[in-house]
Amino acid sequence: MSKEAKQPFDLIDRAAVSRFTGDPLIGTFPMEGSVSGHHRSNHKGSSVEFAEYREYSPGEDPRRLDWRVMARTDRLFLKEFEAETNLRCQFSLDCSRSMSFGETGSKFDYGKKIIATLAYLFLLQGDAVGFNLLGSRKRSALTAKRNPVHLQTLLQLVQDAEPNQEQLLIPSLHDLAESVSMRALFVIVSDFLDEPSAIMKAIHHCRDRKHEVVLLHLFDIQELEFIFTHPTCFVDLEDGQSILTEPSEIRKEYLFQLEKHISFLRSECLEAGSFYYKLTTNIPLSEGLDAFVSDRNSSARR
Amino acid sequence: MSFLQPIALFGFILVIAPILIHLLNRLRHRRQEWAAMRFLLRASEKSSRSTKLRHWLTLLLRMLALICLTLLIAQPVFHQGESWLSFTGQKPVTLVCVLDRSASMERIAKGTTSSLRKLSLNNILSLSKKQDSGRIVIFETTDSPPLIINQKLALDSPSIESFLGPTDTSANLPGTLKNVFGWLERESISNARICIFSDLQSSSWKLSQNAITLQELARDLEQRKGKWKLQLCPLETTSLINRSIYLQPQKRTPNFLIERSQIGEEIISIEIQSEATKSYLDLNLTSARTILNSSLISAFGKDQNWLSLSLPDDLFLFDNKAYLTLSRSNSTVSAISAENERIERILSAATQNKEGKKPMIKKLKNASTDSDWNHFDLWLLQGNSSILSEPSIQAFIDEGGTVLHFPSTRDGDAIESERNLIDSDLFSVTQWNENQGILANSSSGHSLPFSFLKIKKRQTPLEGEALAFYQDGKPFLTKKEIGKGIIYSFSTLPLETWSNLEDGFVLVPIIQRILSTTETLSRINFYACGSEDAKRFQNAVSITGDKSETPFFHAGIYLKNGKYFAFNRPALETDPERISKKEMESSILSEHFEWQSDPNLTALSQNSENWKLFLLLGILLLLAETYFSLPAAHKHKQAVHEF
Repeated sequence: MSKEAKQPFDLIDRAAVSRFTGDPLIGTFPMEGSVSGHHRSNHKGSSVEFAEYREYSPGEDPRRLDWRVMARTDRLFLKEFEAETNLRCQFSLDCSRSMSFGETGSKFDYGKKIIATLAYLFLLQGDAVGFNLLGSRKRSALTAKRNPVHLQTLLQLVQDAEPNQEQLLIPSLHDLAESVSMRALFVIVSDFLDEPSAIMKAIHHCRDRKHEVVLLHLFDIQELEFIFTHPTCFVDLEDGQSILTEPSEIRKEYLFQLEKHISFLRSECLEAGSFYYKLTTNIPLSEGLDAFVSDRNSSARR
Repeated sequence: MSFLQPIALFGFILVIAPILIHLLNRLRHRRQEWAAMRFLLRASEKSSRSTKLRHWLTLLLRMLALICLTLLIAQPVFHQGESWLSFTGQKPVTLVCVLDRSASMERIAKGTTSSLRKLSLNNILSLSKKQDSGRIVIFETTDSPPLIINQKLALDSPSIESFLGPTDTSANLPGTLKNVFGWLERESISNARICIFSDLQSSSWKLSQNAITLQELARDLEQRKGKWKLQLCPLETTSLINRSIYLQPQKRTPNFLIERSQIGEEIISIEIQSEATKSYLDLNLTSARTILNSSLISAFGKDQNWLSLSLPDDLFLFDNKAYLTLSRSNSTVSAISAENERIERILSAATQNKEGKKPMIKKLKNASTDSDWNHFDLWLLQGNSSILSEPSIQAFIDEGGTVLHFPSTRDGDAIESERNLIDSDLFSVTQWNENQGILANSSSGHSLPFSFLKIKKRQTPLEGEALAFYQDGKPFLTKKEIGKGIIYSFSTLPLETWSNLEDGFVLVPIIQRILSTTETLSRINFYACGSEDAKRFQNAVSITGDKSETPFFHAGIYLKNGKYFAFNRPALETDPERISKKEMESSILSEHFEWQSDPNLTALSQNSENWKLFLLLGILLLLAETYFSLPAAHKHKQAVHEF
């Protein structure tokens, strides 16, 4: 983590890949894929998975009639099967300045590794992956594609990203919800240091657009523990505002506020049918993504 | 409130140290870039009120802890009835130890093998060690100047015995206490603890006689409102079997009295030592008190200058000896100093002693400077009464000499009124004590022939007890006792122009009777140690040759100007009667008087305990400060575990 990645492919965490390769990363909600895949589609298709019987309407393909039911009941029924399609996974990385915080490695670098690793894993199972920077004013979105060659482009874009943008997380999320027309899995990697109700409004917007949303909330260990023994002047990475305080005296309240923020996001995500994961940058990626991968696996079993 | 180490009060400057450290810490803050600023701002806003309160409280506790530390080192002394916040310039407590140095203090203390006096000295030593600051002053009952102990270790040194060693004196503790109070007043000592070490012998206190003095002392204590505190540390002696001998202070013939605490018959051998011989007298003691009368003294003391009687040794050695001096000559030696030669001749003829020795003639004008006065016992003086105040004559009287004074012949020279009379109006003596005294009737019942006495001129005699009166009630002859001496004063002269005293029928018997009385008195010279008389014998030398022994402090036989003088411990020193606590408390009615059986628990400890109070307070403040500081760190860990 401390070593700067030189090549785009170095962003992919080998240990995580070796651990999670073979585990299907399945979407929880039906997807609208262009090709056949592992994910449940919102359309009926020709897979082996029985879906339902439906009364035949004139004009429909007579090949899908269940002849046995017609012979027994003299009525026309269509036997429908679940369609399975591929998934569009859109990775979003918050590039606000607060993401550059980190004692040993920044949250931004950790986020890059997450995206690179997951993008590789999704591509490996034939899904389309895209990428965009949240908060960036310049055009940095990469449309989801399933071509393996696309990985190179994505990784390059991820590697080139810099956390020097101002805080525009909320409008960026609304833009993202609007810009992706087809159902997709949004993996949003951010420290979510914004108004939690506004964040959840943006998440609801994404959900309204039929997208599945996963929040990967990044923390540095210092932010979680807040152990400072001496009077410290804290300088905001976003706007340069500073506050001189005795950390030991406000620590309790700080941790309370932090916990409150996390709890709110977690509970609201649950309510919105989204997924929330808290990740600490000092934990290896193979461990950090374990909960995420497990949940995807359990979706596959259902 | 006063301080034993006032220089430590500069430590109050340290109180600003926590403020400075706090400010320095804020200046030395580290800079930290931070992402989650929104939580920080909110936390800072919410916790600022309680944090500030805790901050101020911690600062206050630290400052108070430093104040306690400063006070701990400065060692404040609180005085009763004084506010804690009163920082008036009080001085440290002066420890005044009053030591009963009477002979009875040489008895063995209960439960120890040392004397009561030595036990007292040990107690004073232990008290002085508690005295961190302030003077230690020792008063003792022999009226010596106060002993100011600046160096505490001095009490340990053996030389202290030369100052506070054993004596054969008596004690007057109320008087000594009065001296102590006077000294404290003169020295302007505002805070004092007066500790009395005494065996509470009744004779050393004489509560009834000193009731007024003790009341005054109690009043003084009350006026001082506890700044002077009086503590009595009673000492108890062991109740061992004891025998004591002492000289009964009889005016004429002294007796030796032997007292013993043992019941039953006992045969003891008394060692009787005189100048030349040492002999033993076996006595069968059957009762608690045995008197050895003057006949025994005469038998052993014949042709001796002095006698000492010693009882066999017991545990209390101080009361086993008694001393007596005897005059070698059995007849009185007289001297005459007169301004009139005829009077001188008449008196010389009348004063011839039984051995036929005529008196010495001393010139009146040399009488004031005569240093030979100790060689005679009766001094007939004729002249102005002012001659009696001359030093040598005063000394003669003080030493037990007898003066027979006749008025001056010079008209208008007398201090008393003088009256010339005409022959038709002669004075006659009509009243005198015929039963006893020098004017008593003879053994055959014949009275002095005062009826033949015709007085033409008279002068008021010296003030004193009138022995004979004129018909108009005025005194003819007076007698005045000064110390051990006596002055007889005639109102007329043995001159034809004054009276017919020169005929001798009244004058000779009176003078011979005075000679006889003087003879008895002059034979025995004994004094009490510690008395006013003993003070005049500073130059006397002990017959033991020990130069450290002085008649004022130590009983024994002393030699001065060729004469022997016996000094004994006062008889009352063997009196076992003690004062009870109740009696003492009713005599000194003050709340600042304390009966303290354990001298180690005197009020001085109150001062020395103050530092413990501040130590405790300081620890409590630091614990409170820790309480306000530590919980944050403790909860800190708890919060971490939650994640």
